[in-house]
Amino acid sequence: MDPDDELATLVASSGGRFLKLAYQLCHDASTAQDIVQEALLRVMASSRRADRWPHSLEAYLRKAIVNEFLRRRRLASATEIITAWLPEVASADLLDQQVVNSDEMWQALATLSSRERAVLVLRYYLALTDHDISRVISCRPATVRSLAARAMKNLRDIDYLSCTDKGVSDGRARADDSANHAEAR
Amino acid sequence: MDELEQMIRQTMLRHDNDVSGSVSLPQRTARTNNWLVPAVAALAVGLLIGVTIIALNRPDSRQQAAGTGRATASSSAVPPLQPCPASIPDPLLDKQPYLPAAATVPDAGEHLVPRQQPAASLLCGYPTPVNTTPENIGLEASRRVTTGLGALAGQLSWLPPANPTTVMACAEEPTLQPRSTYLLELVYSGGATWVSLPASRCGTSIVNGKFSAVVSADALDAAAVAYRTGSWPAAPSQPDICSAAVPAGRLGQQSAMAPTGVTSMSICRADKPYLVNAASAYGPIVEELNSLAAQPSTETCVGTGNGGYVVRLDYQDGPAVQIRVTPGCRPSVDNGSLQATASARLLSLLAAATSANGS
Repeated sequence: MDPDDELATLVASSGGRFLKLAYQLCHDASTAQDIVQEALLRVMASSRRADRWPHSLEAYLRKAIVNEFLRRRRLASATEIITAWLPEVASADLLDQQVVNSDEMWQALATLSSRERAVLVLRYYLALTDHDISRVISCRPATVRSLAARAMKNLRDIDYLSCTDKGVSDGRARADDSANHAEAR
Repeated sequence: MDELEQMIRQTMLRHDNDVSGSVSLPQRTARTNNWLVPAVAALAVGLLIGVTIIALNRPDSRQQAAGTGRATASSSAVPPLQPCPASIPDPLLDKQPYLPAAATVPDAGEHLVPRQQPAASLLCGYPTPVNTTPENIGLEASRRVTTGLGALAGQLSWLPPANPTTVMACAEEPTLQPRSTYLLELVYSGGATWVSLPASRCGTSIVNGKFSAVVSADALDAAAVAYRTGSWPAAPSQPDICSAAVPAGRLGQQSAMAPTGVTSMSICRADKPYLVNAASAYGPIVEELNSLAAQPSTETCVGTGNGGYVVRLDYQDGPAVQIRVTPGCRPSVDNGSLQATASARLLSLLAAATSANGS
């Protein structure tokens, strides 16, 4: 099959999954579209330049999407939190506590550094092994474990994820502070 | 999977339907995104500028910006700029600096970059990760260097070769002072070259794959400025030789203590810390300096490193050569690339030159 046809087939059949992956990384729908488009262009350009096609086009494109996300986050402002989801103040009487915690978790994930977030998405959303993750983000498996451990620690340190009565507003203040430090790395 | 891990996974799955829709394959010539048309337009403009620069920079119609550069084959086409590599091996892990391709410009083994102004230039930035040592560093951004190409050629083409015998006491800790590794791509009529500029200034060199140049702090700073602005800054003025600053040096000083072509000389005497213009006395001093038995410099000496002289030799084109003559230290003469022991005649000539002009 012609390489461009193979890519077109993959995009037609799995484009939605790649879009969801990008969204899990950046938490913004329009940015996710941009990331996927840029990744596709890079795959097309690099494959033509190298005059060869990757063994696993899907894995190659997934790697391009993650790398594009990481590249963009480096260029983004250190204080920027990219999210299209704006949580409303929740009332424990009206909302299921599990949903509240999940929404808080989604917000908390946005406060992680780009590499920490990428590792968690690849590990828990795509269920990749640490070895596979290391190949996607181009680092050693030990570094993957280190990033994951640090991310988990950062998440555990956020008070509002524990079973307390603290409101969402406290959590947002903490999340903003965390983001400022996280992206400074 | 513990409770937190389960919550993470459930959260991600819960938000899996926040976004839906299809993805279209970008078309190479059609407008598919806000940034694609400007990118294509920028590429077209870049090629037009490249062709125009070639036409204006023919050797027979324009003075070479870098001085006495020689022309390459002007009938050869300028190769297009290649995109930056998406990542490079971490220089901390890889002893050899990474270069995307071998240099195809003439005499790449004799100087870091050709003396002439490049037709086009591209800088690729790879920021050093802090507190981690990944195997590869990803590309942060690329920047076309559109102005100051003459200054770029003038600064980099004159860098002397790195001295493998140099013993440097590195006080710098790279991971505590994050900088970027830069890849600099230069294209000329008939060839191209990549230059790797290291993030660390400690125990490294600036390389093109065939020539390793000393790490010039000014060159690294200039690259950082050009990466931010797209303009290579003019080289800073020569440092005051009566201060402690040691410049990168001049190509040629690795072969002769005082390379030929000297046009004037200045001397700073340690006990009289002001500049002495000894332009008329440089002949015998240059001759005596070049008569000394020299060996590759370690940039260190044993003894008292104070006192003595700093001699600066100026040239019509390119940077000066700065030579330290420290009688209380062995070897006592050092130009950064070569060392030697000062002769009594040399010390006498220097004393006479500074006594006659200074008081």
